[in-house]
Amino acid sequence: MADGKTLHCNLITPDRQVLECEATSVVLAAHDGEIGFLKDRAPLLCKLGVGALRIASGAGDQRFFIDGGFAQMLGNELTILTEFAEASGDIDVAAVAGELREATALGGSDSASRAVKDRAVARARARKRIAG
Amino acid sequence: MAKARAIAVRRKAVGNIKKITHTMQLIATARFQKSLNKAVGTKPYTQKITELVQQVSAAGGDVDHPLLRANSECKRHALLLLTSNRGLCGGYNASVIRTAMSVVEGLESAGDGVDFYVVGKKGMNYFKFLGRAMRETYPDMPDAPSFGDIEPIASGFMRDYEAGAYASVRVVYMRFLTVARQQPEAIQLLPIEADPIEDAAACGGATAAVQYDFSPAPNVLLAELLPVTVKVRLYQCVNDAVVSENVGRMVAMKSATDAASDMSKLLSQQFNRARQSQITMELLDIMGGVEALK
Repeated sequence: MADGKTLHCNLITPDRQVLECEATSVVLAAHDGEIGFLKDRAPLLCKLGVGALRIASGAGDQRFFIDGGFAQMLGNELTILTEFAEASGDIDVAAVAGELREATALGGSDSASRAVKDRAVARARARKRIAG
Repeated sequence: MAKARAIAVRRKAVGNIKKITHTMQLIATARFQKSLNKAVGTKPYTQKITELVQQVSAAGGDVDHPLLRANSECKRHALLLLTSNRGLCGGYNASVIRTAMSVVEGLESAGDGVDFYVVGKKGMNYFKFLGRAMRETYPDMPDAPSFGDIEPIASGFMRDYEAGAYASVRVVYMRFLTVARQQPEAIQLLPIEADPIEDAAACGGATAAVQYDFSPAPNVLLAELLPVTVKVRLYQCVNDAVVSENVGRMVAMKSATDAASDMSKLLSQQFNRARQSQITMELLDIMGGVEALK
């Protein structure tokens, strides 16, 4: 469990537990904007959005791209459940640039296809920002 | 010498078969370990999602979601059958298909129709042999499917169910219990059975004690969580099926290797006996010749 001024952080995807560490602070993309976590935060259950997960710890900062999911803060333990998580160092910048080009070229004639386009663009932009 | 030579040829063939089956057993063992580790690796996500559903339902009160509602006026069901692409895995495919057909008979005898969704070439070949149409087939499912491979299938089922196309969506697969025991099972994927929600109400004491901040509101959060539980449940079924297939192949190849060893021993005995009788015959011939010259 947490000691000093840290909280325990778990990042879990359907395939595996990506990360388990002690962190001094965690900032993540929630469904309605960014949200930060420090030790002794009140219990919270929230829906995640598409964007960055930043974990600060004594060993340095780590950044991940997360695509939706849920976060639970309970008793200084933060659990982040997401369908897709990618460390900033693993993001292929060239591939993301291509993805962004393809996403912006998508047609958006009706509301459904516009939503698909917006999501694809937001995803590619977030990955580009985190990689850079 | 003709008989002894024929036995020797056969013994060599059996030896070669034994080498092949032993190698296949080793490959299946390695694949089994890998798939078991993967299946175990998916557990934390599944457990946590179930826990979240319980906590949100305990806080959220009544929930009305299309995935929980029964489409009682609809008379069609979807059945997803998980089989393997390759054979030589004992009774794995046969027992899964048998379970699926008993489910189908039950539904059809009640006057309902069934749409088949089949994963794996073995199941596809069976339905082709029966001459029954399949709604969708997945012959290219990888040996170790990822969540990304399963997600579109689950999403498709949820879309169809919400549109009222099916009264239920069922999955027939081989459930992995232990290395020695796997059993074919038919589960209802949709509508979602309210177990976790009822469990939450039953053991609400521990969960209700925590006062959570919810973002968004609990009922909205639950509506977001329910589709994830469906995807995770299907993913678990697929992982179980992959592990069971590898166990089936491992056991089948071990039996084949053992049978080849036994046969090789038996053929060696027969060969020695045939060679000995050949030598005895030749000796008798020589002795007979010597006696005749005296």
